[in-house]
Amino acid sequence: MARWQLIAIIIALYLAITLGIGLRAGRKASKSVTGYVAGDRAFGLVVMYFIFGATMFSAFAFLGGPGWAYSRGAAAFYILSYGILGMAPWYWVGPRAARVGREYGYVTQVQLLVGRFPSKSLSALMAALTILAFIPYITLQMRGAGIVIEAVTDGNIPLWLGAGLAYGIVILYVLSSGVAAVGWTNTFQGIFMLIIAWTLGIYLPMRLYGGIGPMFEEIAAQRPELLTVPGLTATGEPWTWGGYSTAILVSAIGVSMWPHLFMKAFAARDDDTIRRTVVLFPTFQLFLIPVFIIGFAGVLFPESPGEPDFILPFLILRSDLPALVVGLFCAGALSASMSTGDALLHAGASVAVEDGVRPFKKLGDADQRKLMRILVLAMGAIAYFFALYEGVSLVVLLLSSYGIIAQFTPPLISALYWKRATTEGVVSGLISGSAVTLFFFFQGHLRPFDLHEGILGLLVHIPVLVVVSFLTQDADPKKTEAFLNAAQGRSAANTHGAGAGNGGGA
Amino acid sequence: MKVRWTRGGVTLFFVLFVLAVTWPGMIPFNRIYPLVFGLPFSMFWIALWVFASFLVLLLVDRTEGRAREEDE
Repeated sequence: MARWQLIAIIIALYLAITLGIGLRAGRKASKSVTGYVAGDRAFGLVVMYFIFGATMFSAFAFLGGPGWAYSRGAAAFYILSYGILGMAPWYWVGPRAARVGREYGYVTQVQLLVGRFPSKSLSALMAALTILAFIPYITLQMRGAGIVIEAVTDGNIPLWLGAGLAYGIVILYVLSSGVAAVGWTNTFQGIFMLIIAWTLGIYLPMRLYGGIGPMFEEIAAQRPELLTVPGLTATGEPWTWGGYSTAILVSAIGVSMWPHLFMKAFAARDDDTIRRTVVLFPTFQLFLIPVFIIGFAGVLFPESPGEPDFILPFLILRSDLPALVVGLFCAGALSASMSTGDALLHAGASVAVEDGVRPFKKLGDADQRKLMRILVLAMGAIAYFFALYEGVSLVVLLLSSYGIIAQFTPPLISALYWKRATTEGVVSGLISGSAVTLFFFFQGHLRPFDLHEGILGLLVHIPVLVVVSFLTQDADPKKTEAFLNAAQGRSAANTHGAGAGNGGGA
Repeated sequence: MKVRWTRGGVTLFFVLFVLAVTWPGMIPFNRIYPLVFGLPFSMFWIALWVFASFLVLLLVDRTEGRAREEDE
């Protein structure tokens, strides 16, 4: 049997296990929208931990992370810096969002926002921005999966087939089991990613340099510019401190606002589950250390791959590793890609139906689920098309999406914390902030100090939100008060409201 | 009272974290040597803050959890 066939068998096994877990997961979930989108609000700590870890670290972490460390050096450290900075406020924000979700029955982030600031156009605008940010994101996950499979099977399984197979399976389990499948497959994939990253991160430098310390000493002697922040840009010029620092800021501000992550507040069993997920998050995040080490291991390698993102498969294939290790690595990379891709497809379809369609057209529970499934298929098909015929434009879109997602933060924080905020204030803030972000994205040379366009957007967004809110009146102050009381767990309408605070004991 | 204290402390910690890994707070620690656990000092410095946040959040969870229990 040829080597690539053995590797292909390992990949097939991994895919079969994932599919099995995904299909089984849905058996217990109820056949309702809350079941399909928010897992009947019953996710425990283990599942939540891996959902956040595995979803946040996508194919970008497994392929792009080493690629960045390899080609741009310490620039990659920004990815290590922002994760927990963005997640820590969730210790308080998450339970607040979850309480309002339970009280009013929300399953998406936009429903929460529109619940406080009633406006159909706000709902449609947020849904549109979400889909716009998701399509390139899903596309890149699919390409990542296809690229890895093509590389490790020596091209015997081409990109179109590899991506099609991996995502055919993702779509199958997302269609049948909804968020329950996302949760349980992510748990399996998350464990896999952690083990593979740490193993390879220690093994590769050992094999190539005789240890991690000796490896960095050699890099320090030959390419010292790679080992200090802010590292290099994609073209090999030194990166600016302004660009590096604001990349950390905008990612930290935006990361928990990605709809596929935010929505999981509604899927958690209770408030303590959300809090503990945040507390444990840094332990997952540290897996970026071996990921970067893998990238650095390629720096002094005599040959170089065509694109930096291929450094990991490239190294693996040229290090005479046993086929089993190559197959497992590949499964790890697929885990990273699929655990993000499934959450994106599922959340994208849910948001499109709940926030894009339902405010304008009445739909029964069964119709909503049917429409979501159709949209999962449609989004998968669109992303697959782009994955096969991709140009530069998609990477460009994805990079700009973080700036846009960061604009979701002020409205959502105001919704949960600030009594004086009004619908007019939130809408004008969101529109002006997004417009400024897009302007500086396309006119990058006009940015002062190389600051991230999302930060520049926020600098306009927040004052506009505050000023317009003070100039306008809340249409229904009683409703606002009830909403904020629910957020604090002091429920007026619900007699068992006191239970919200001690969810852990239940 | 104690919760307020911890919240102030944890906010301060994360503000320091941001300052320590961005310009200009990172500059004094932005060096290759000494290697720690084989890692360049710049990388170790950031990882240290990530690990410290784990400990800080554990502490917060204990204090706040106790306060929530006393509330009831």
